[in-house]
Amino acid sequence: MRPSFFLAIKDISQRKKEIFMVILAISFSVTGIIFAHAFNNAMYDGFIGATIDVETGHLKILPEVEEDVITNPENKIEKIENIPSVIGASLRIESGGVISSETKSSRNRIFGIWPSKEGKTTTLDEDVSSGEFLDDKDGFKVLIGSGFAEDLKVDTGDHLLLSFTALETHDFEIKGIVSTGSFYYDNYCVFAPYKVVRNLLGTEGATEIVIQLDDPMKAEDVKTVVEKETLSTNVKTWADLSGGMASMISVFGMVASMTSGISIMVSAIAISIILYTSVKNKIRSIGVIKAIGGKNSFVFSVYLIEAMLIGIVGISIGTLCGLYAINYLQHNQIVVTPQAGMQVIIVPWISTHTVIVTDLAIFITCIFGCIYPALMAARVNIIEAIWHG
Amino acid sequence: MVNLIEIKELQKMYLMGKIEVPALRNINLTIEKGEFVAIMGPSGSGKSTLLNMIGMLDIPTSGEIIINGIATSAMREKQRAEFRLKRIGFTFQFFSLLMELTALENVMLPMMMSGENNKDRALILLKIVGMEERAMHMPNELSGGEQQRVAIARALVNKPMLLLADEPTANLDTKSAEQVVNLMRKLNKEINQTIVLVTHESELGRKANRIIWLKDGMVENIQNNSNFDS
Repeated sequence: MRPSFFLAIKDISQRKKEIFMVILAISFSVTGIIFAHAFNNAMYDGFIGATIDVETGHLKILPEVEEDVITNPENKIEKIENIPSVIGASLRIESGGVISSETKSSRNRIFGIWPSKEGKTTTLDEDVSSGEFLDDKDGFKVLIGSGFAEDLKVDTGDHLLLSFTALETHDFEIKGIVSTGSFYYDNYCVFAPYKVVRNLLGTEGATEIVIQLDDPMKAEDVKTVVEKETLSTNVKTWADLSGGMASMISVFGMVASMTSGISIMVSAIAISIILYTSVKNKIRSIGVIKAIGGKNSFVFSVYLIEAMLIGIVGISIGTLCGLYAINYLQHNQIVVTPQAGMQVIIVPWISTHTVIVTDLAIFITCIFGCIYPALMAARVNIIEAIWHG
Repeated sequence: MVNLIEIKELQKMYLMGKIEVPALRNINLTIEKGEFVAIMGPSGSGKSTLLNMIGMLDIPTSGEIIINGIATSAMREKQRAEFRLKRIGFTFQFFSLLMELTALENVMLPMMMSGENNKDRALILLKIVGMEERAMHMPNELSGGEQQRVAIARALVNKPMLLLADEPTANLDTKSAEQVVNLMRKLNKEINQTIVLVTHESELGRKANRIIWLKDGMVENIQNNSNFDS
């Protein structure tokens, strides 16, 4: 065994309790950072993810300024579907209307959706909590948001009366209930087949085209291509459309980053203090080691190795605890109900890259934390140490 | 006999504020290979300072120390450390064992630092100093005399050409002190180990081949073995 490693192990074994406390501090730091980032990811997915996955997609085409509808939407859809990076595109018509059950009427929103295209573009088809999703062949059938269903006291198989104008009322059967995680969709919307709604409204246009990409980071680039291909000027990215909530989640992210920074400082200070006190208490021993032939670099390496060993153990424990906590919450999901009828499922997750970066950051911090005490030890004056240490 | 150590015009000045205080003044000495030399003198005479110079724990202000033909004064710290590790063995007044290592581990440490790992040699040395049975004991389980004997074994583990002992018996009772010095005498006689011992106890100094008396940083007198007990 290398003598510097041997002496480092021996020094650690002599101060087990203090070293244990430092390892605990480092473990908590690592666990905190990993969990903060995982939770931030969960918040993003829970609040923003639902918005992107269901409402906005990564890009949305809206009617031109001073127009009510998007003209030639099906022609535009064909062009969009041929753009690289586009996974899917779907037409929608949104309209206001009165929706009535046997017990209650409510003035809310009616969406006409193209079921097969919607399935490729959004996760609406996966959010059916009761009943079935719509089919392209469906006629007067609807999906209703879970909160809205609760409000109207209806269930799958029941009927709703939908009125787009004051004169006409149409009977629709509830084919399914959706719980999307989007507060707006879950509490204020029903979804009917696009062609049925289009015919009832007497329009040839759509009110929005939702586009899903293979990578949300490409949104700006693909937006330019979409504008060019469809000659649309009113194309919005997901960031444009979920600005407020994105900002909120961004603040959470900043808090997570600040927490990370503080945790890293804590690790550095903990290592620095434990090694500083070790050096201070062992001045004579250090003097003896140097007197019997230990070079300055040898003494420095003893404390460097000690810091690295403490860091590795603390990081390992912290990472395992953090991943365990994440795994536990993935199997025991937190369900948040910010508003009646709205459910947001918080499922923390973290990428391997983030774990590696966190572990490396703390490890490097441990090394930085040991530099001053290690240098102090290396520069010990032999005679003063032996006689006065 | 071959000169192992040659000291020429050695001076050491310490700066106390703005005043230069001479700790050693124009020391000229030779120590032959296989000698057992005691350096004695009143407190403040420069005994430990001289030993520190010979052991390269400190750098002279001027002059030269030649050990086994190698001039040491101009060596850099790294070279001095290497030289101490492989050529010089030290014992100190305060035993100076590392408290977190066993007696055996303390003895093996310089050997490990040299890149070797010969446990048997360490055990043989512990046997020579009479500490074989206590090899696995921690220093706080050993008496002062026992600790000093382990320190001697540690000092010899790399087969140094020179053993320097700075007041090794200062914190020991009379019996333990005599045991330690007798051990040094035995090492000198049996394996021809060159030893330089600093002591203020004349009873112990008489066990050396030669006594070098220092006063006020200068060699006052040198007494040879023929005048003292063998």
